Amino acid sequence: MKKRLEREIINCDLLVVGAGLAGCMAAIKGADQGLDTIVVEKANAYRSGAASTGVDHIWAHFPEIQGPIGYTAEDLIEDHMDKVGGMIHEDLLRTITLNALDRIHDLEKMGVKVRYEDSKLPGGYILVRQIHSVVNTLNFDGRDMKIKMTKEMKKRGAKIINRVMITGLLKKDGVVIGAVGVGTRNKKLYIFKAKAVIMSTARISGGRMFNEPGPGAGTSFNVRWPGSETGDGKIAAFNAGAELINLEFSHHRVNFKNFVRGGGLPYNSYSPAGQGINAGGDVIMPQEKDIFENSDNGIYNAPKLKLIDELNQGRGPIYCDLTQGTEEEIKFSEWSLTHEGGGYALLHLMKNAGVDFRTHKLEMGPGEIELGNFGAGGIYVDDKCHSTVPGLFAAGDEMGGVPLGCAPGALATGWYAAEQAEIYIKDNNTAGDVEEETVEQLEALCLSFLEKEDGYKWQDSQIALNRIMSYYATNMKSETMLLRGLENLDYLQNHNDIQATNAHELMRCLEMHNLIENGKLIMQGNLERKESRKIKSAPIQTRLDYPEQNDAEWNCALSQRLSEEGNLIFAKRQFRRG
Amino acid sequence: MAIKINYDLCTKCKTCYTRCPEDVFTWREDKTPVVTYPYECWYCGSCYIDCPEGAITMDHPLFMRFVPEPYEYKNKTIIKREY
Repeated sequence: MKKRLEREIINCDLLVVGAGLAGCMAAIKGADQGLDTIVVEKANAYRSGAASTGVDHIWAHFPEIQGPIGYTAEDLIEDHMDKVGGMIHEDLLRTITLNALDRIHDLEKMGVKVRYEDSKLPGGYILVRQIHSVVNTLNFDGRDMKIKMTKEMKKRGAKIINRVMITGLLKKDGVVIGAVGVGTRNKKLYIFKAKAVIMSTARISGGRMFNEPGPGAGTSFNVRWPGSETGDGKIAAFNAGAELINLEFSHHRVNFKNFVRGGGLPYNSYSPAGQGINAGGDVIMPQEKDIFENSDNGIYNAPKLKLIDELNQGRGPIYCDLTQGTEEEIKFSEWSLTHEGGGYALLHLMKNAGVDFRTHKLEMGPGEIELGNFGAGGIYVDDKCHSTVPGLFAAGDEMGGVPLGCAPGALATGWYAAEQAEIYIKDNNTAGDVEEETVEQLEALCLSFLEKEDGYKWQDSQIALNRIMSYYATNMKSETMLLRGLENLDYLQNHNDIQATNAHELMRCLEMHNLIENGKLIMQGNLERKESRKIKSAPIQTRLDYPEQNDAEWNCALSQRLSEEGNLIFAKRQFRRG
Repeated sequence: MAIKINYDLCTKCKTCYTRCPEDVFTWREDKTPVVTYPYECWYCGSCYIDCPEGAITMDHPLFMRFVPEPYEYKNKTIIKREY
């Protein structure tokens, strides 16, 4: 008799996939509107997602502070498009800009501290300058916001199902009617029937795609974005026929040399005194308060690349230096780092090493390659966060189109996607019978890993993927290299003889399957976009055989989708100015 | 490496096992958390922050640590040139 995995069928109105900032907000809003809402999470909502152990900064428009200087929300939208650059879905950016402060106030009602007695600003906020030409990024006690949001979801009646990895979407007559996944601690198949699905499954952790040696390869998940972010939502959406955009874009960062996580020092919202220096002590990245005066090249990424370039010029090593800072500035950095993802661990690490901002410089280096942030890759949606497949919405980092949307983007679009999903559900009662095919496919894939004998460990596949991606799809890209890279990925997927001896390893095996599929989409995008492109002097796509930027042909988003016949369809999408 | 549990302080409340975003813990039959997958630790600090007993410490692997700058050599080689 054919072996079967245990199954559970769960019904709801709204299914939210991924309980990060966007997913939590979507579930809160969904339940608040009276929808029978389920949020399904691969880890545990208390500490999952990029906001796991904190976010200390959210940009927003504060009318009571920026109003008196005549800086309107529309000015902020213009400013974002000017300072960040790149391809921006203006309608979504407007949604974020007009709603971010309301979402901050929602967090406050959940018990997150956002106002301070020693503030000198109206409203009691502590604001710093981060992305825009005004001081409009809130610093706050965000360390435990995920815990507070999880409690709020429960309070509002949203049901949380933790430790289930969603791998596919269920469709009926071209409409999404649910999702299917597997329990990461019990190997059970979960079949969710829903009237609408919001995908809030984050960007792909660049470290798991490009790092060498690969994460988990006897090392650790020393990655900037959560190692659990393996593009599961992208592959599920792609296989359901949804368009994905801008997956080919990636960019380099500067990070602490050995500890990839740990905030964005020296220059970020939480480091007013931080400066980037070379071996000779020359200041390459000035302090935050000075850097904005020379912002022609984009304030966010270009200065970091300038610091990395010191290494190529023979003036390394490079350091983050706060020793020039006042005691007040350093105390501020330590406070805000306590609330920023990984910052708490960073301070723990520094303490153990006897390293102090007051007396020591911290060595920096080229960080992991990042996907999705400046390029804003992800599921292509309209101004209602609705994807090209009816019933499928996307929010947060999973949604393509808003570079540096970050935390405000996740909070605002999560809430907004649930609002739009509710309208869709009212107009379209689409619950249908589940097509067995998608469920059978997942079961067969799971069993192929579980029943393998003498198979490799998933880490073997991880190392192979990282080696392929870093060799063929980073700084030596050309048509012939990318074609060879795709052959390598196809070979890897066809020989991915990895074995799962338990539910946890099954999750990792399925992640490898998804990462390899995402790798193909990245390379196919690299191959199709026949140009090199920069955002404000920071490269996001480099082709050695097409070194010039080609605005006539390629100043647009590149979308990829799977046709009913199984063909890959490319399309160009313009969404600037709506 | 990764996460160290002081079992003298642990009250087996399951917080670390429940919340870990990378699922590095398993729950052993004798009702204790075990760091089964240390190489998958993200060092986010959730177990360390949330443990109500302070029973958990993070031990970063050698390759993730800061080498202090300024640094004081412990075993500096004395070099003499014969040319």
